[in-house]
This record gives sequence, C-alpha cells and structure tokens, in this order.
Amino acid sequence: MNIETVKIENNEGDFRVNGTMIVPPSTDNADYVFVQEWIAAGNTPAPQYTDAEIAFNTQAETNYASRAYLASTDWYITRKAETAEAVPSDVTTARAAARTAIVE
Amino acid sequence: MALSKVNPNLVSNGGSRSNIIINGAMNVAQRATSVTGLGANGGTYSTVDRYRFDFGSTAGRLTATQTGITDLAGFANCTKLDCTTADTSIAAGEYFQFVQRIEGQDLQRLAYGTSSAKTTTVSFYVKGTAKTYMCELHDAENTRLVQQQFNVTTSWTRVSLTFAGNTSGTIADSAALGLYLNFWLHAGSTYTSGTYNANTWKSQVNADRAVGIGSFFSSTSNELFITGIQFETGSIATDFEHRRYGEELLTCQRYYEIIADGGRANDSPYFGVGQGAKSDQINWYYDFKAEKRATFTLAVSTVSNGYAAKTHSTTKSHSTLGFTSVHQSLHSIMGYMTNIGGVTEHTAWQMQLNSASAHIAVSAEL
Repeated sequence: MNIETVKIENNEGDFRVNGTMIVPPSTDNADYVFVQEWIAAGNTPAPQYTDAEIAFNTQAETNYASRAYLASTDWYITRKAETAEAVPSDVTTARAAARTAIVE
Repeated sequence: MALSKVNPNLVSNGGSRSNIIINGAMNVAQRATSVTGLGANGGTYSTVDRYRFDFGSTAGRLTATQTGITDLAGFANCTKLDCTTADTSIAAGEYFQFVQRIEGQDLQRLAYGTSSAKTTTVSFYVKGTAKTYMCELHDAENTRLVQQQFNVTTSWTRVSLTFAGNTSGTIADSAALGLYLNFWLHAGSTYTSGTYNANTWKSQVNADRAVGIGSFFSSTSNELFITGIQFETGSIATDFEHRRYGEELLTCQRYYEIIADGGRANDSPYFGVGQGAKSDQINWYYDFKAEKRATFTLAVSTVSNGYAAKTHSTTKSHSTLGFTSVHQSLHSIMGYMTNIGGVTEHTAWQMQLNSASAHIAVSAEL
C-alpha cells in the first residue's frame, strides 16, 4: 500500500489512510502493518479534526441543543395562543437566544 | 486389482478440497480487472483476488490484468503481467514477488513441524517471455524457506514442482499468516548473490532466495501469463481442482468484500439500514456475505455527496463514511455518516450510494 496521508479517525485508535481507508489498530490487519511501518519511518498521523471540523461539530451540537430547547418550550407559545397567558420573560429571552444560536 | 494398476492421477492427495490455493483459476477479480502502474514500494492487492504484489525499491512498472484466454483448454482466465517501465539497473535490495498468503488453519494438513510433514506439489500453467523465475514456500511463523526454479516459455506449460515436507517448526492453527507462496520475478543481489539449493528447507538466507532468476522488468516487451495455480499434498500434480464461481467468490469474500459499488452493473445502490444516532450522525448496519478473517479495514472512495441517507422527505449526504473498529464483529459492520447535522435520534434511514463513483468495501487480507 502506498501511504500518502494518515489521520487519526476516532478515539479508539483507528486511522484514516489516504482519506479513503479506515484501518483498525490490529496487528492481524495487513493495512495496519503498513501504517506501523509508515510511523516507524518518522511520519506522524494528523489529528482527528481540523479546526474547521471542530467548528462544524461544535455548531452541530449547538444547533441540536437549541432546537431541543425550543421544542421543549413550544407549549408556552401554544398556551399563550389559546389562553392569552403570557410567556415568562426568561423563557422568551432564552428562546430568542436559541434561535440566534442556530446556524444552518 | 494390483495397486500398480491404479492411475496415480486418480488418487486424491488431500481430500475433497485438495487445492490450498484460493482463486487458482483467476476467475474472481472484485477490485478491478486491470490496474496500471504497479511497482511502488510495498505490497498491494490490486486485481485478481487473493494475489498480492510485493515490490521493493524498483523503478520497474507493470500493468496487471485479469485476462480471458482461449488457448488453454479448461481455463477461461489468467493473470497477465505486462512490463510498462523497464528497470535494467537493478539495485541490491530490489525485488518483485507475486504472492498468495495462506492462513495457518488452512495448512494443518501439511503436518509441518512433525516427522510426518507432507510432501507437497505446486503446479501452475504459465507462458510469456522466456525467463527463469523462482517459486518459494516461506513458512511465515518459523522463517524457514524452500525454493525451486522454473522456466517460462512462449507457450502454455504446466509447471509442477514437488517440495519436501518441512519437519522443523509447526504452523499455528489460526487465522494468522502461516505460509507465503512466492513467485520471484525480479530481484537484486541481496536476494540473488548466494547459492541455489533446490528443494531444501532452511532458515531464511536472503541471498539464496532468488538465485539465477531473470528479471521481469528487463524490458517493456516482457509479459507473463499465469493461471491454474494449485498447492496440494503429495508428490504429483493432480488435475487442477476447478471450483464453482460462486464458491470461489464466497471464499475470496472472507478477505475482501464489496458492500456496494456505484459503478458496478446490476449492483444495488443500497448498503444497509441507518439509524439516527445523534444530532450529526447516522449509524448504518450491513451483514457480510462471508465472515471476515480478522479485524477489517473499511475502504470508502471519496466522492462529493456520494453517500446518502434518505427518508421519504429528507436526504442527508456526505463525501465519505467511517467506522470504529472496536465495535465490530467479523460478521457485520456498523459504520457511520457523521458531520451532517439535523438528525433526530432513533429515526430510520435508507442508506444508499449517490454516485457511480461511490464505492464501499472491507478488507481482511493477510
């Protein structure tokens, strides 16, 4: 195998090789033997995430948490529509912040 | 009837499955039927299943092809090697081997490491540019080797080489590498400067491994065609053991299996069922057709939006897929499509290829 790049794939010790192969850290795996030889030759695997990927993942988590909060407080809006009872101001503030935090 | 009347060619040497070699007739080529430019340092499985190309420091390059043949009765395919870049300045450490690696548990019938170690015979059909090459059995566990030269002519010839049993060093009954069947086709003085001791098992002496061979890379006119490779117990080469295509394919899939290939005619674009795992990840599941030999590699071609997860109204796509090896069995894979966003936990998804270039395979080669 001609190795051009090696990147850490996850926290379990797997490597992504040449961008297309995920190689397990097992000496029974012939591809892992090549990775070991590549490292022994003085090369270093790249980290799991680039800065852009870290930012993407962080935003995805934020989006998920924000949508979950909005969903959990939707009943205030329904109650207001049906009974005219006001939405607590802290909920209104937090919902606005959640909407702002979501970036598609 | 006197035993002397029995035709030895009708006597089975090793039981109902006498040939230890997988895909000896070169009929299965899951990866590709032709690959150009082979020769870079290292080992690679490129075309016909189970055959590995090992190169060391050569400038020579070749094209390997699964080639249909009509001039050898009983065989439809062979592996053709075509030298495309010559290497006539051979440095000491150069080599090129055409290899099949064999699991230890498939070699127990040889009784290696005991006084009952079996005589074996390697046979194959070969033609090409006239050369002398070397066939080698290499006991991977005990680093003991034995060699025999063979000649290639321009006409198909069945070469039959009988090897003594190896009485020193057992091979473990496991899925690990037990033995290499090596064909030396190019070598520098590191491997050719010693003494040729035909059919003599001994500890590894590199200088003795390829003594007297020609070089496949000596000219771009050089070709080699090979098929019908058989490795069996006994001192005679019995008729080649032809197997059904489906049986051979399934045997090969223990080592390499295509899960889905967008460019393969009649292949399903679907590769399993997906489940929303978290907000930015869908996990997908696929049961293998054959149990894998060992912890496997997942190979996924990178294609923009080449992999999709769909519901009736929603499509998520990505350029690649991943997996975490610690969570796998040898029977199935749980992979993931991640960094996609907008996924609800526990939702079901239909996983499918979105491009003719998309390709998913697993490898557990030796």
